Amino acid sequence: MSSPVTDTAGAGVVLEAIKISKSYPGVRALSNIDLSLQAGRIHALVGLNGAGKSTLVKILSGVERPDSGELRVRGTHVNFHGPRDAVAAGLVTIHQELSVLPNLSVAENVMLAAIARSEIRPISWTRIRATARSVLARLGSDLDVRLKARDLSVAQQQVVELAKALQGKASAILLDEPTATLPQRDVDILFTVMRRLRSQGTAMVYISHRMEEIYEIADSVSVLRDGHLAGTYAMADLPAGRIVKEMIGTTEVDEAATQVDTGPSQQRTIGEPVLEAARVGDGKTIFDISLTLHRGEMLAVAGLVGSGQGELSKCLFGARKISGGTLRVNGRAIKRLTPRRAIRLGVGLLPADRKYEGLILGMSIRDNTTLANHRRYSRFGILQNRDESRETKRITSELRLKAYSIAQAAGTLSGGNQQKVVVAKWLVAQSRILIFEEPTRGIDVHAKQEIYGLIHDFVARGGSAIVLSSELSEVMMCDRAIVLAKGRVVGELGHEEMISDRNRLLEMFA
Amino acid sequence: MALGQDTRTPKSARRAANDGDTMSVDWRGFARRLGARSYILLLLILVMVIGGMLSPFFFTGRNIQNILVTGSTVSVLAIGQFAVIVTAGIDLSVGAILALGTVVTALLLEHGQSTLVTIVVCLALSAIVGLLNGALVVYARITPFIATLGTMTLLTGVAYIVQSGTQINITDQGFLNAIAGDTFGVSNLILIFLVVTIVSALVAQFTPYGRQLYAIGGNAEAARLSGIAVKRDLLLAYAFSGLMAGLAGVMLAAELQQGSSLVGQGDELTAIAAAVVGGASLFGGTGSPLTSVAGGFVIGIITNIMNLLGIASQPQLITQGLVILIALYLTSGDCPRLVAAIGARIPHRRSAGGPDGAPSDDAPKSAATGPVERLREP
Repeated sequence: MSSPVTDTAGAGVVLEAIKISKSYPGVRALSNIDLSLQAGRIHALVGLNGAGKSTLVKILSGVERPDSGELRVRGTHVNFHGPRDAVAAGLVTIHQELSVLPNLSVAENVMLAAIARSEIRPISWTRIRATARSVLARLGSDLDVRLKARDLSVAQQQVVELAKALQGKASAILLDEPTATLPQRDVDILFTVMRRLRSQGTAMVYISHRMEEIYEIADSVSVLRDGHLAGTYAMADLPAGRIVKEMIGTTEVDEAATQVDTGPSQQRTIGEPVLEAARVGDGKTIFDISLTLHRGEMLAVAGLVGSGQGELSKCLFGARKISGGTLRVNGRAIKRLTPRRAIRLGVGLLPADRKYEGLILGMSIRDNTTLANHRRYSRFGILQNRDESRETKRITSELRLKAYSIAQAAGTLSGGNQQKVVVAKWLVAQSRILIFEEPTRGIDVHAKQEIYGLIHDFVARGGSAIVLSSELSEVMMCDRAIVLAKGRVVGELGHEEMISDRNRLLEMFA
Repeated sequence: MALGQDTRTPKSARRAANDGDTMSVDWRGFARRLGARSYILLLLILVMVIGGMLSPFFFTGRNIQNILVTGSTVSVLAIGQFAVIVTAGIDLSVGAILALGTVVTALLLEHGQSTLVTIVVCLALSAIVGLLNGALVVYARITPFIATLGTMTLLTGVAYIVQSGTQINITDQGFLNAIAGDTFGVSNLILIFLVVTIVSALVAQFTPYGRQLYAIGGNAEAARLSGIAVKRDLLLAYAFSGLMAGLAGVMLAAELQQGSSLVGQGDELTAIAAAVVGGASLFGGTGSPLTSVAGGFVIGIITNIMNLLGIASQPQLITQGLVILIALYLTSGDCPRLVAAIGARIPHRRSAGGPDGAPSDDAPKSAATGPVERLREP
């Protein structure tokens, strides 16, 4: 599609998505999403994890096909059978993991499609370099086109990707979290290039978790929540903080509030400190974090993606090196914490990424359950399979894990049941402190309630839990919340404050 | 939440599902489990039946003994190799360690050392070399393929220098009797291999260490976050592989009555082929010592049959290559998925979606798990 920006159909509308729906077994990822991209506009797409952003990107980039709904490019119905079709229609996606070829030069990367097309003809390198240079100039970049792509910074690589898209006559570009891996000063480079592209009539979708960026660069924004379109707004008439409120949603907040009223937090007694961090940082993403978790307490660490929760949870578990500060477990200062030591001290981590960090998918439920405490089930160095099975059956039925057999591979389970296996693993390991990182990510509503129930039960029995979450309902069910932003603690709220002054919490989030 | 009517459980999942602890009777699951375990045994029986049909000499006691003796060193190598492969590693140096083992054995005996000292020194040396492999992988973070390729070349040179000349003959009858002699009419070589096989099968199945190796191969990061001492376990796995190669060296030295730097060339590949034909995935986490041994015998018996039939060595190589490829295709290739996909399409065609219902753009680890991973985060 090489038609210029001036088009008869739909007054500058480059791409339209109409009532797009997509389901995966057990999860409805998107329902009835409408999206419209105008030439020369930057449209932001925001939402919490699991809101459906990545599914929408996959559909727009031709990786997946919607169950229903249609896509129109300049008013014409299109069917993408693969990423190539999307590119051919002028719709280029720049993924978070860049696709520049590191061993090729800038010129070769920019001109890749053209080079691939001129199969036999001798390649004129002078012409290729000249063209690449002129494409880059359109973006306001004077990058040396003979440099190898691997020697470029991430921001420069992004410019190369954008130039490549421009060279391919892209009329719409999707940028999937381009700033996630970008140092702050390089964000400006990207934004300058994006503004130039905008002035030249390219439509862009901009995905980011950073609100200030969206207010800075976007003309309009669509907010996704739980697979639904929560709303589409022009940035001009949008008060600060509104986007986050839309992302998190009010219905969910009310639901959480009622749930907490019936929650057991009132009856619990909060005991002595069991896990303390004093000015802990990793030197890269989290800085100066101090927190104290008490016996019988549920402590929330609230923060949007990229606020450093993942890194903090790994540091508290010894899976990530800390560069400063001290950690105390049960009052004892621990010098060099490793996961192995943390487990011995009764700490367990439930990673957000259950599939790659929490479970061994090819192994059975039983083998996963007993993995962190083989000692308990071996006699004279021999694993007592019978004991393992009996204990696994007992714990999994207590957790109401649904499976036809404990010999079933963990990879065949649904998200909620997988999380239960991870919980079972730590119960078997006799953990007293559990660190839940985004405990219900990718888990459906019903199973979510069950997981919350498990956390409550664990704490009610004298355990302690840290819940690191970007979901307001999860934060609000805790006794206390620490709010994290850009790797630092920006506030702390008690349970009552969270309920009574919800807006303050929301503002801290943003 | 639907557990998924997956008739397409991948091999890795089937391996896990190997004990009988079903909560309810599930015949499909039972058949699946049986199939995974018995595939290699069926193949072994099939090969033997074919052997019996093609040659009247196949089922003679002499030929069986012959197969077992030849297979004993290969099996020991394959068991060591399996311990590394199950962690998603590979050990290319076992052939060279074996050669060095024969040379060291012959040399020590020539210098009048006792049988016991010879064996202990040779085994210790091999284990140390294996430990070195492990250190290169764990601490220097060199990929197993390259690290062991380096030690392989290095050790071949060392074996050659230590040998300093042509092969060294072994005349120490005590040693020869101890390793290659008979006990109750059965060759000691076969007895050694049987003991090694049984012990390692038990270790793999019933000890924390065995379970941890599978866990590391299945997902090293999750294993680490479960408190498993990944580095220590990997070091031990490579050391064990070296030890087994040294043992195979001692056995082969006794069998050939000589030490030579030229033996063992290509044996690492035979050992890898044995483990993989036996159902071990090079991505780790699957297979077992028993099936690795069985895989070795499938290859060994086919070679034996061709020898009995007087087939020249060139066509033998072609046949061997084809057997390995076909066996691999049946176990770890796309075949099980293909069969499942065809089966799924015949009764009821899916209305929406591409040829494969599950999207497959996930990270490689998940791709290895295959279509079972249906429930994805949106």
